[in-house]
Amino acid sequence: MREYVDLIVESREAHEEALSLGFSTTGFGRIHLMNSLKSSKKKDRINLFRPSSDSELREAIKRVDALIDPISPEKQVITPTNATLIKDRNVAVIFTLKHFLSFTGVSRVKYMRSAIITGRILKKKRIPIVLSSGAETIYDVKTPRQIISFGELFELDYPQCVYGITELPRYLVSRCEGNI
Amino acid sequence: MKVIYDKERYILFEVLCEERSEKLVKSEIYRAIRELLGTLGFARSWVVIVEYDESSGKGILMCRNKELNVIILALTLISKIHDKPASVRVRLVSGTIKRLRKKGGV
Repeated sequence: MREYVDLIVESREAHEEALSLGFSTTGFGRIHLMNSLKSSKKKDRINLFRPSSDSELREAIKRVDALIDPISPEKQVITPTNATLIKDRNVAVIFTLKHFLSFTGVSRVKYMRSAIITGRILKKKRIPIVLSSGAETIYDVKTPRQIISFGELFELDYPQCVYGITELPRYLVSRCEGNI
Repeated sequence: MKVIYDKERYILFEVLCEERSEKLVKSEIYRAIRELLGTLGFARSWVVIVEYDESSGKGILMCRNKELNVIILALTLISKIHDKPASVRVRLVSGTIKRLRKKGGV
């Protein structure tokens, strides 16, 4: 039986709700979301950074374990050149459902267009893509099947989506535990 | 022989919201699907809410097999019902309504 991992869960109640919905574990308590690139890295946590521009992303990939939501409706954050750097640094890319749901109307359409292009670039460079809910409340927690369908937005195949919520997040969690 | 009818899938969903009357939930689900797929996509996906129980918040939705993932994504997009925070969760997917009822305990 598959063991699903919801990596980005930001509250205890969301963590417990996720466990009741079929996830075997979450990344709750193991994540360190860096607010700025100057903030220090934590050894026993998965260090994440949310880049909003091309230059920030280049700076971030030297320091973090994974990039979270490197996608913007206004401009393309991940370019083929950046993707090569991400690949060389062995950094994962995480997409959260919460970030997608935060956009409405035309912004959501632009997000989806950007998601398709980003998905194609990442697939071509074979960069690991992790899918997650990014839940803050119990309303944000979704079932594994719904997160898999979210992966379709990035033109990922079904097995790739499944890999993105089973093996890859588990590997990141185990790597973080190995650092302690 | 040309196939006229595609295979359908049944989705067992659960609504998590303070406001979960049948009328509001159905209209919100149809609105979300129409927003994501458009009118033509909506028609092509053959979406029908087969049943819905207000007390448990559980319901069964039928759609075309080919459009299954998009319909699940559309259900995921629902975040508010009647201005109250809401969440629709896909519990089970099955090819027959009988099996869905058996597995889902509806």
